[in-house]
Amino acid sequence: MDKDSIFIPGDIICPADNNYISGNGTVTRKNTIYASIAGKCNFQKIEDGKTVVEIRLKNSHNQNIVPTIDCLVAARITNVNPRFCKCAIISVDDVLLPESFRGLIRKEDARATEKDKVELYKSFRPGDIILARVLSLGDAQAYLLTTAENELGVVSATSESGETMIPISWCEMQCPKTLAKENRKVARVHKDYIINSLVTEAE
Amino acid sequence: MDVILSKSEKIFLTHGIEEGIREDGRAPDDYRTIDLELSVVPNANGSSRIKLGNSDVLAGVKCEIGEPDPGRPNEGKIIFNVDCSANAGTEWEGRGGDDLEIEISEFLSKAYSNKSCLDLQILGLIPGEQCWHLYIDVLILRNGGNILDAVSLAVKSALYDTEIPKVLIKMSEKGQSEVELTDNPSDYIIMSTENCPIFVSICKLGKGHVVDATAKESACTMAKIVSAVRKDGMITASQKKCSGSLQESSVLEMYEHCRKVGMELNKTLISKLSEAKNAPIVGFLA
Amino acid sequence: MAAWELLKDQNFRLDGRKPTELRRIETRLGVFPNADGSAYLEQGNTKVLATVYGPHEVKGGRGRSNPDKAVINCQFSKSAFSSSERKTHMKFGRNSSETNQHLVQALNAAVMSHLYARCQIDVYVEIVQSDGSDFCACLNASTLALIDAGIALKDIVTCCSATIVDEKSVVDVNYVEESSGSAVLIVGLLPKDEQIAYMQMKGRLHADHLEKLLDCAVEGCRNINNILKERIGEHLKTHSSHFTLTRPATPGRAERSRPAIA
Repeated sequence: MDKDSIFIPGDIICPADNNYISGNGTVTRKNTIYASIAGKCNFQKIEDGKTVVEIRLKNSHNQNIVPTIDCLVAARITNVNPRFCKCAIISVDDVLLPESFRGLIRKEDARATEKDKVELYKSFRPGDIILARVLSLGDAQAYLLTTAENELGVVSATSESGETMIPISWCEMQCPKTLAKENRKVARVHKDYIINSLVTEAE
Repeated sequence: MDVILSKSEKIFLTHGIEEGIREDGRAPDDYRTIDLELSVVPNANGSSRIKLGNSDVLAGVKCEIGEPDPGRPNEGKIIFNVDCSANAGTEWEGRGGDDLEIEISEFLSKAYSNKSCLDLQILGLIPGEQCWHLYIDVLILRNGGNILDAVSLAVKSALYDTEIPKVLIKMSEKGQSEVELTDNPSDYIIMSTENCPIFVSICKLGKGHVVDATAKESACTMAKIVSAVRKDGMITASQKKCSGSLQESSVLEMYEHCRKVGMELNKTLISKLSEAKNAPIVGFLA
Repeated sequence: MAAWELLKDQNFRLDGRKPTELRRIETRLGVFPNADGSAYLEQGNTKVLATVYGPHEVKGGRGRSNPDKAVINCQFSKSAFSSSERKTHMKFGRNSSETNQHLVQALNAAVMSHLYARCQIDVYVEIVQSDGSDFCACLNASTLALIDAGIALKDIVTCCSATIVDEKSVVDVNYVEESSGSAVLIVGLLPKDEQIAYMQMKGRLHADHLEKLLDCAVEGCRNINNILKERIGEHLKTHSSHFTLTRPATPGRAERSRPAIA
């Protein structure tokens, strides 16, 4: 297949058999992979010999991505109350969103164990950056998120004196200046969970 | 487009301006690049498109025959109408742009209400009965800061481009005068736009002030003075905007600044208009 | 009654076109860099600007959000100087809100809106100059703007009008032909599947003529589709450099949500 040929929504790219998997910007219908956005097509081999067919937008910062169920998001906590906390979703997978979406973490979804003993004030504070997973699209007002996994939770937080804190256990963080300890639901940051765009934003 | 800036960004911009340095490297008196095009809408009697930096404005003039004001039987009328296109951003959807539309069109009316700006006598046809109504419609396609100045440039250019059909006034059998359009489309009159004012907005940031503020600069403006300046330096309308207050001395200083910049800009515009009249029309395809 | 002889000798129309000939189409994608997508389209003397904002969170009224698919929001407006007679266009007039609904309906057929659940996509259309077939130009421009915005589409929906003059069907109706009083048919087509996404007719038409008229409009849509495709291709060739992937490709969102459309 010609690498430089340009596909326009509705164009046939290739048959959808065992060798080709439809990726971003494409759609499978009737055993055929069609383009759904306009651009050049990329064929990328993955481990098991299959090829992922993908069309990417010309400007990489805006991929028109919106949160979907099960995807990993980064969010900034905006509001905490005893029953739930609100947050602004700032990136989905590793795409930084141009505009934030509203998210909500219920008390029960803050951590995996001892769910009934959770005190949200001891898990999140406004301003914290968290990693979370989309649980459901929620009601009309916000996406429902969960941090009930070891790898999910607070990744960056500032102490009362304004310093970036250092995690010391799964439920505590410490200010490097005042050495004061604060309670958080800390994420055990795992390599696969690092969101690239977040790193660049933090810089 | 309203830009949200953090405190430190605002301080950075303001300090720069106090030192005479702007974020895009312009001097305090510099305008951004102005793109001017005439006759972009063939259905209008005169039209223009102005691109001032990121701001994009389209103006069209249409002539219609109507009744004159009873108080001014020998004169025609000019009517301003501003439309903020939702294309510029979601906040102008529906009624979102209404306030700005009214604000700009009222200010245009004020600035042009001075008799010396446009010779309205030329628009009179039959005293007390019929005259030309000039409808000046402005369409704001993109708001990239300093939209008022861009609008006034577009209006002046569109008026320059306006060709008003010539009419014959005949006496009917009953002894009443009647208006008849000539058949020849190349038979038209052109109004003199030499004295049309253009707006100059001066923004005060900290101790300094600048013309043609970008969207970012507008976001940290404390006070702003907009004046309609004619080419001879006369000011026909003026308005203070924004929430900050000004001292008398700085108002006078800013007025002087407005006049100086306005006279310069008028001169440049008038010289460019005759060039633009003969330039090929590219419109939005460029 | 015809004050104008719309079809002259040898079947030429008033503007010199043959009955099946389209007007000249000029396009430009990415007119406004601040928007997520924008396009400008000229169909003869009908000139239209379209911009797309989104997908973003649903604005205004919480009840409008849809848990299964995106809400498409259209606003059509017409500049006061666009037509030969000046009209201050009513943004909330009955005419424009009807046009808005029609645009939404036609675009809904093309946009893969299940990918943008609970979101809103705004499409704003502005007629800069009008010379007949306004709706067609609006829909064509909106499609181009959606493509520029990178919104996933099943197919590019194109729109074309047709009318009957002297028992003959003519395509891409201009203002004079539109106001002659005969029936005008507007068809929006998804050309790949030959699906009609939008159809509207005004005026009185003999049933015998319907097939002929429909064929004519559909053929017009196909031709416009080919022209638009060519233009998009040209635009992308000059504006996109070949990207390199910085991360391993993963089966995308389209793949994950496949059951929804199967």
